[in-house]
Amino acid sequence: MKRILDIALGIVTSVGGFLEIGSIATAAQAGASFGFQLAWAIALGTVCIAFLVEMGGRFAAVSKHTIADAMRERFGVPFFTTLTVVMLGVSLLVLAAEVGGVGAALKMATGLPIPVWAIPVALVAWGLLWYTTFGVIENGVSILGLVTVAFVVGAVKLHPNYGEVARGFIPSLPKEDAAKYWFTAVSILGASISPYLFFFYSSGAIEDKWDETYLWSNRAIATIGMGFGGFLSVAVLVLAAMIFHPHNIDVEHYQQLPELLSPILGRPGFWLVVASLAIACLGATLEIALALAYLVAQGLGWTWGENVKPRQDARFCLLYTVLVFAASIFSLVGVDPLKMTQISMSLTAASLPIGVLPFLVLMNDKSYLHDHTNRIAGNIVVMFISLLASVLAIISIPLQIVGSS
Amino acid sequence: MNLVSEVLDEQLCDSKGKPAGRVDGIVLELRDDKPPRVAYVEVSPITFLSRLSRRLAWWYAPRDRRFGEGRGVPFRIPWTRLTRSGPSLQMDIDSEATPIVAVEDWLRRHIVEHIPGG
Amino acid sequence: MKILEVHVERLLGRKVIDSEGRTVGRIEEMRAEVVDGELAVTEFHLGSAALLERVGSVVIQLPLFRLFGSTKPARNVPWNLVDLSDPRHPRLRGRLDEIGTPISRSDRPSRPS
Repeated sequence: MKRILDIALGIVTSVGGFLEIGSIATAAQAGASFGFQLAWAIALGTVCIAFLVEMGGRFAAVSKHTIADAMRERFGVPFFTTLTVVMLGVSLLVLAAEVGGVGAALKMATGLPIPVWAIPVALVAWGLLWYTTFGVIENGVSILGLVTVAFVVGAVKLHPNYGEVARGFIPSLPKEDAAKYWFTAVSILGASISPYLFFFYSSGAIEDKWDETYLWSNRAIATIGMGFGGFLSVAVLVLAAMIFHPHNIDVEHYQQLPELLSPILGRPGFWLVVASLAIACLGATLEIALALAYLVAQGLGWTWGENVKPRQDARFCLLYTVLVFAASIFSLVGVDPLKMTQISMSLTAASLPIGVLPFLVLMNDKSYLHDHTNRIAGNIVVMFISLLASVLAIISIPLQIVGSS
Repeated sequence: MNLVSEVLDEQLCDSKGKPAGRVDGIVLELRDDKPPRVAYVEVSPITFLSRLSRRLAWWYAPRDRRFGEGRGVPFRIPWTRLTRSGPSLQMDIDSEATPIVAVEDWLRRHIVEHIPGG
Repeated sequence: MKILEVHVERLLGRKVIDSEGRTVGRIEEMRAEVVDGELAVTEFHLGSAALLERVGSVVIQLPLFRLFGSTKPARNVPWNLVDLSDPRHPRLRGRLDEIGTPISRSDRPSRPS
């Protein structure tokens, strides 16, 4: 019985991890600009991250090492340092976008400008990390995150032509605006396949003391959790496709996001979008800050853990503190959250190979995984993801420059 | 045992099981007619940095001294004081008695303990 | 008597040259055993490309990579045949063809968990 509860909570957490400003914004922009046409990109991103997360969980449960531990032990200091520097740089920008996302939600709720909210949001995030445990964060924010189901409710109420939606899952070429199409597709992939997610997940598995008996739970959580998160993104895409696309409106300001639900659900719709954005972005803020602190602490051999009191792991706790407040500076000086989201998603896509390629090696390492190394199918998927990641790495930044203008 | 895959970069823990950094370096003692002896394991940001760039390590070393007694040079643990304990290597020393905890201690005393409710 | 110390992590990846200037391989691993009550390095495991070898046989054993041709074979060289007096330029005491046959890739070490 406890195991079922564990799985349910794990699924909810995965959903929370999946849906954040990146996936909401990119899905909304995709729906507004291209109707249902880019649903395949969301599906592709979801499948990829589900595989990566399952592998991360399996790795931790079987080897009792986190991915960061293994990255240092297997590949040494120069590689680990490069990986960490890249991850810190890129993820700090994503973190800044998430803090901005919470600020944007609060601005829509109160009218007070985002810079006013930068420090308070950072303080709340910091307070949750400093004073609560992993379980509270994992479960609390995730259960609140179920408010995002409102997007599904809204999409269903609009009675979309499900046949047309289904066709969107088949990859197709754009009829016009090719650069923007591919740029949006790349951003969706960057939003879905976030490296911090599998660093976070493997650390979470160790925090929750998983062992080999959790392998099936892990598979359920990874697939259903990520799958459901993808499903929520598709709902946002459908909403944007039906509300913005027919009028040729592009999503360029976060203030447009409540219009995804207010036509259908009225004033409550507005509040549901605001709440969804705030909670999803706050959850992502916590996850990213932790994921980065885990990466550094584990690679350098520090004491770490959310279930450990700050006085016992000072460096770990001060690191996430610095990251959260550093991220809030962007919003404090008035950088637009949507702009930050766009740039950080492209950079994430560009930086994927450095995390995914070594991961492919680790998942075949018998000294860590014994009998649970990847089967052929798993390897083919990760090789495909690595190839995809490498292509994205080359094209995403040029596309960012061309496609967003 | 294999030094690179089983010792280098491994997690260290102290006599109480507390994490105590990672093996940043291994020192061999060369002898004329005998195989090189595995003498010490080094745990230090100086050693860590030297694996990236010797110059960087040279630059950092005097600054490491500021963290307290015993810092400024890489801390060495004699191999004979280490045993394997699960996924880590355990030393039979309390890390509180070594310079390894200097930074953690400083941060705890000067920052963490001033924050209420920790 | 001056004690000469060398660091394992600084030897990692260094090319070993034989007495005639030919490359034998790069140091990728060092095997240590208890000798006369002390742990000592008994063998140096030399491979071809430092980075790829640190990554290890794992990659080579993936079916796809077997297609990419062979890298130079790995060799286990006993400690007494390696001169580390200049740690930056390790030398083989002797000629390449005098040392033993290359070992097969499946004899790779595994790590404790």
